Amino acid sequence: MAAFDIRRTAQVISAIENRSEGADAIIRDAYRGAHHVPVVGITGPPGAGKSTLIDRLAVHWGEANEQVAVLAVDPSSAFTGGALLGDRLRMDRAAAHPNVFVRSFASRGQLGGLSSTTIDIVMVLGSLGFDRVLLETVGAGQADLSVGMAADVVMVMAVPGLGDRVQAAKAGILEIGDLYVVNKSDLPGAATAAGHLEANLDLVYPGAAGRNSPAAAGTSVGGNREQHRRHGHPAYAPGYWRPPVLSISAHEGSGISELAAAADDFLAWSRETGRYGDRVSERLRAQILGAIEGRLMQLCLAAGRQRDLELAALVAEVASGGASPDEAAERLIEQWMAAIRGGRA
Amino acid sequence: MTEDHKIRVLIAKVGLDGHDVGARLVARGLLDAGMEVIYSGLRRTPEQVVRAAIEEDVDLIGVSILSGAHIAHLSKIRRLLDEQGAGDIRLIAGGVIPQEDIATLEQAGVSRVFVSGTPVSDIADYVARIKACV
Repeated sequence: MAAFDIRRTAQVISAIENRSEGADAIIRDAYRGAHHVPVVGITGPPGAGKSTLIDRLAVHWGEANEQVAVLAVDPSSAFTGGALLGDRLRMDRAAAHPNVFVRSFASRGQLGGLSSTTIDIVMVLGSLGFDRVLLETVGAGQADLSVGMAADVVMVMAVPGLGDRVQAAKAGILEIGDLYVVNKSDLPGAATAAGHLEANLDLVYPGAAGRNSPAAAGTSVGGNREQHRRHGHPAYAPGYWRPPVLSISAHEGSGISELAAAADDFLAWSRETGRYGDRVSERLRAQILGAIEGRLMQLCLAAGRQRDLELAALVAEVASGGASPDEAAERLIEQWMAAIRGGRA
Repeated sequence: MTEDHKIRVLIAKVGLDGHDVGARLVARGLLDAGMEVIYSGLRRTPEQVVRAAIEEDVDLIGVSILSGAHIAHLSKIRRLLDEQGAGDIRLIAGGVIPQEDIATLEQAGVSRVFVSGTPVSDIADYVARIKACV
């Protein structure tokens, strides 16, 4: 018997997505409750098998009596605003499991499909009693950097035959994974794909897959500050995490328990070393900055007709070469500040 | 500040037939009309359809049935929706449905039946209007 009510959960999610009446209060209460539910992000190219894998993982954790929410994102049309949300149909087992809740989202113009709303929804799911969230993103490859912000553990999926060692080395893919997953391990080329990933990881991380003690002095260490923040700097205590490369077949269900265990091991390691808390802080900082940006824009432009006219005049001026967009923005902000000082905003 | 409310629709294939070209055509039409369309996949049971509709908080379910079991499946879907507190989710149907069964279906709670051959734009227009007169 699930701990969550399906209809209520679904309607609350809609309210937040649409920012309807009452949504702000629900969101506020959720953040105040500070129940941070762990988010497993799954990303990778189209056709890699993300939905099939999520189906398996959701059932795995559902069977362990966790209340699991699956959020699957598909792209919205830039022209019509509509979307075809076709991830859920690959998640039959998850959709039928009493401990699993599956919801599809359209990206609604957000590159990668994730936004501050996604994070608000995750917080609310935490307050509704969910134990884990599985987040599937649009899978446009490099555009999925945002999944690293929304998720506490990121699985990057690869499939055999999609490119060579250089392809595997491209920026973006190697910088966001906490675990790498080669799916369709029954196909030829799977071992090669795994080998390419390991070879590229060798350039950045010394040591073995998973937990490592600090590297011996003088060991060559690669990576950038972002990776060191997430996985620890190999030269310093208390040690570091080298992303493992796991081979699975989501379709056949092989390698799933090992993958789930590796993800949980990463979560445990990141809690023990404080990295988890850092990640949450980073995410909340981005939420606050995003909220400030949105609010400022709203306040600046909310003076109705007057500001519309000012803006229209500035647009005409920039179009005719009378000012640059930066100069126009400065001017509008000045006008707004003056209105505030004069009590007219 | 409220965002525009997107219309969410579940297009469901119920029953044992495997022909979903019609369903996918309608899904495409609704997508082009700016709606968010969840496609159920083939051979769904009424229970699966109702659960999906509730989890996805859709405004409407469009069921495509070509197998002849429309009266049984559609009345069951309507009943399950009502029992689970989702009486406000509308139900429409299309596929191979004889004229003489339409009255029975409407009595059983199907809001509209779109017989094979209906232009997709008619369906899109109907769905677009449901938010306006709820």
